[in-house]
Amino acid sequence: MNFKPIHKLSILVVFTALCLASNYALISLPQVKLMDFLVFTGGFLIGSVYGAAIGIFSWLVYGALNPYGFVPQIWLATMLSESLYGVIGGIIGREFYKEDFGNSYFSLNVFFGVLGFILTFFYDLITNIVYAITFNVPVIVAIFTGAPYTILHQVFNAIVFGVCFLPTVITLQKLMGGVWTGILEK
Amino acid sequence: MKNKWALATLVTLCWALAASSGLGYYYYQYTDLVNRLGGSLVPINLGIDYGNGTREWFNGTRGITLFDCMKQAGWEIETKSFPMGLYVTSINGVEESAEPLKYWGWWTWTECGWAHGGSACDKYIVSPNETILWYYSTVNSTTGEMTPPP
Repeated sequence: MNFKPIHKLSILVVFTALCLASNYALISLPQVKLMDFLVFTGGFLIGSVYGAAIGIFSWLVYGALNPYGFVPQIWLATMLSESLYGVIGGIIGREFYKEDFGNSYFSLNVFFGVLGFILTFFYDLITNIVYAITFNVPVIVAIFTGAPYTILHQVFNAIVFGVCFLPTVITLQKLMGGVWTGILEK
Repeated sequence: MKNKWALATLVTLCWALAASSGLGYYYYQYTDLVNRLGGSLVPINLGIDYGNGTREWFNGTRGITLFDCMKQAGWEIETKSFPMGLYVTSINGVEESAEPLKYWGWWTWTECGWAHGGSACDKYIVSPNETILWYYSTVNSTTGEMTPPP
């Protein structure tokens, strides 16, 4: 979509606010957050750089003002790995029209669900490795002991990405009056 | 992404990642438990209170689960098996009764007094020198609460 920088900046601010509000609202539910989905969606709509910025700015605040505590190394790791969602979202958004999904909602839903799972796998892997290094815990132990939480995180994101991404993006594109990026209409 | 098999492969990949993580978790839990136990049986202070003023102690009874310790103590135990574990209906010939409501329950000693055991005796892994009491207690018919041991 061809937005002016000021529009992109506005979207960035709104998505960052959404990430923060939803994170604090869901703070009692570990690993159940909409932030990853929102960062990815933001990146898809306004590009990788802005998408990454949504992730970084969200963690900048949420990581610093977090009732579960503050560890600088983990904070930096989560900021950078969260930006992964925005970067990949931007790349997918740019390259999306080249792919042929046969105009199938089901294929697209599965594709984005799988994408959400795999991105979350790498996010969890990075943050677990940083946690292990920070607290001097063997990496394998850190990865395996956290497995129930990471699996929950990955499965939840797969469901949210798979079920919510297409309706959200289509609605936002219509709402914002941008150029149709080609989802299901080429 | 023309090929639906590519999507199916990616879904299988996700399943493999999740299954491998789960497998690693349970393997780690198992090895951690074996290491903590050191391959030996854990001694506990095991007691039984028949609810009539008779209380016997079997200190130093060894086992991995509470049920192991009860068998080690030489008790005659009757149980019913459920998916969540064994349910004890009778110990040393004293059976649970519906009238009056009296059932067997196990309690562990804490800093705050007796705390009701939260799981089936064959699922509970005992800790070294833990104090556990089986108590034949009355049950409040309204609230369903078991009377704690005195």
